[in-house]
Amino acid sequence: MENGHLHDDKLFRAVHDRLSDYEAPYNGADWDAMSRSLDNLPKTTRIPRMQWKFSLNSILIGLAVAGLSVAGIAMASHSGSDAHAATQQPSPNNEAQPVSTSYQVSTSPPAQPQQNNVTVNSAPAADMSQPVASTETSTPSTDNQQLSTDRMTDNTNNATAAQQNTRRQKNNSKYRFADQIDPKKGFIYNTQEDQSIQNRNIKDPIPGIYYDGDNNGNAASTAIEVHKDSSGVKSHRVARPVRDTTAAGKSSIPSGEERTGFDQQ
Amino acid sequence: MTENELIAGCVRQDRACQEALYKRFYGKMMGVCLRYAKNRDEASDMLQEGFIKVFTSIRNYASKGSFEGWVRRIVVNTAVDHLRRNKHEYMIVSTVYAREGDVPDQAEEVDEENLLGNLSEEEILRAVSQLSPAYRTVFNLYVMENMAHKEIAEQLGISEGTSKSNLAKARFQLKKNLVNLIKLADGERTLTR
Repeated sequence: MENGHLHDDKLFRAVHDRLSDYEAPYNGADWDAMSRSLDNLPKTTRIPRMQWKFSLNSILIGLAVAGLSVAGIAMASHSGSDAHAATQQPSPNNEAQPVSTSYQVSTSPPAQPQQNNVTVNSAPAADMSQPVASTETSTPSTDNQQLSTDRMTDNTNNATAAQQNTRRQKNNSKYRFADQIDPKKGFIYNTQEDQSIQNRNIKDPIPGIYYDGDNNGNAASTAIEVHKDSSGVKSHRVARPVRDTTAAGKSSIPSGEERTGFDQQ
Repeated sequence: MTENELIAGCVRQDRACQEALYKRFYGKMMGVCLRYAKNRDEASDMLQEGFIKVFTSIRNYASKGSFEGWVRRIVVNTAVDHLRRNKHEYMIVSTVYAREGDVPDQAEEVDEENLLGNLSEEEILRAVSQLSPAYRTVFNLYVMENMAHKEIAEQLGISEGTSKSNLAKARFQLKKNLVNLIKLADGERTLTR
């Protein structure tokens, strides 16, 4: 017997033995109904091709998305480089004046050099307030355009040189902070730490009273007094002075040097 | 055609191979469905549903174990799923069974080993089909499919204790049904004499 757990149940064993090999007589109507059901089923042979189609479509969509992403990144980086370049070079459209508008054209030989009224900014970009007087004579329109182009090129070159000088100064500076951030040009002014300030703290310590604390963070009973004499800077401990809260006392203390929290009387 | 050739033809959705395979396993699988169904029509529905699953998933047959066992497992699962889907109907049937009160107070002393001697397989199947769906399913899975109560409980979503209880009740009811059939058959024989 296949099922060992029926060995002690006579009824179950008897039913199992009688029905396990039973085969119902064939009914052709059942196959007809089955055949109709199979006709209504989708053809599975088409499914692999559809799967291939879906796979190919998925690949194409993935490639398109990847290509668009790469293009977007390239455009973003290119526009970023354009913005950076814009901070270095001033836009010629903003500074260069259209030459032809006020250029005086003279057909006759000039008796004396003519002064152009056009203010073409050929100075460094950092200093745009100095108009440049041009002594060049007027020429027909094609020469005017070439001249304007040359001047714009000169402006650009001068601006580039000035920016380079500025950049060198920036690189040598220990501290670099932007004063202004232009949305188009980026950082346009950089703060430079005054070297004299840096040197002063090293070479010329400001005399004064320095308060001290103990290991528990409480104000020490003594303070450190720094003074400078002919022999140099010296410091020694003194009794904690009473804080001079008068205006004169406050003025004697350099700004930024005051210690707070320890001057309890 | 060999079984492998039939399987390969069914994978190609060859209708002739499908019909041949259907006819080859119709008798046994219909016998399986008749044990789970309450009547012939329901058994035919179960069989058709089961073979549709066989033909649509035949490419997944991994040739591990016998093909007949693979088909039988699909048909049994289809029959159980069919009963679970129509649980609300069978709950009413179960109530009808209980309300009839046709349960003896005491088990009759019957020679169980020879109880089925004069009964045909169709009569035994009829006795089984008269069980309530819950009892009938547990009986079929335990006795005919050789499943343990733990497996039955997992498949039907019941507890192991419920499975054992249903089996005991199924046994009691089945014996009663068989006795009634024997009495009925004897009465007919008496009438025909």
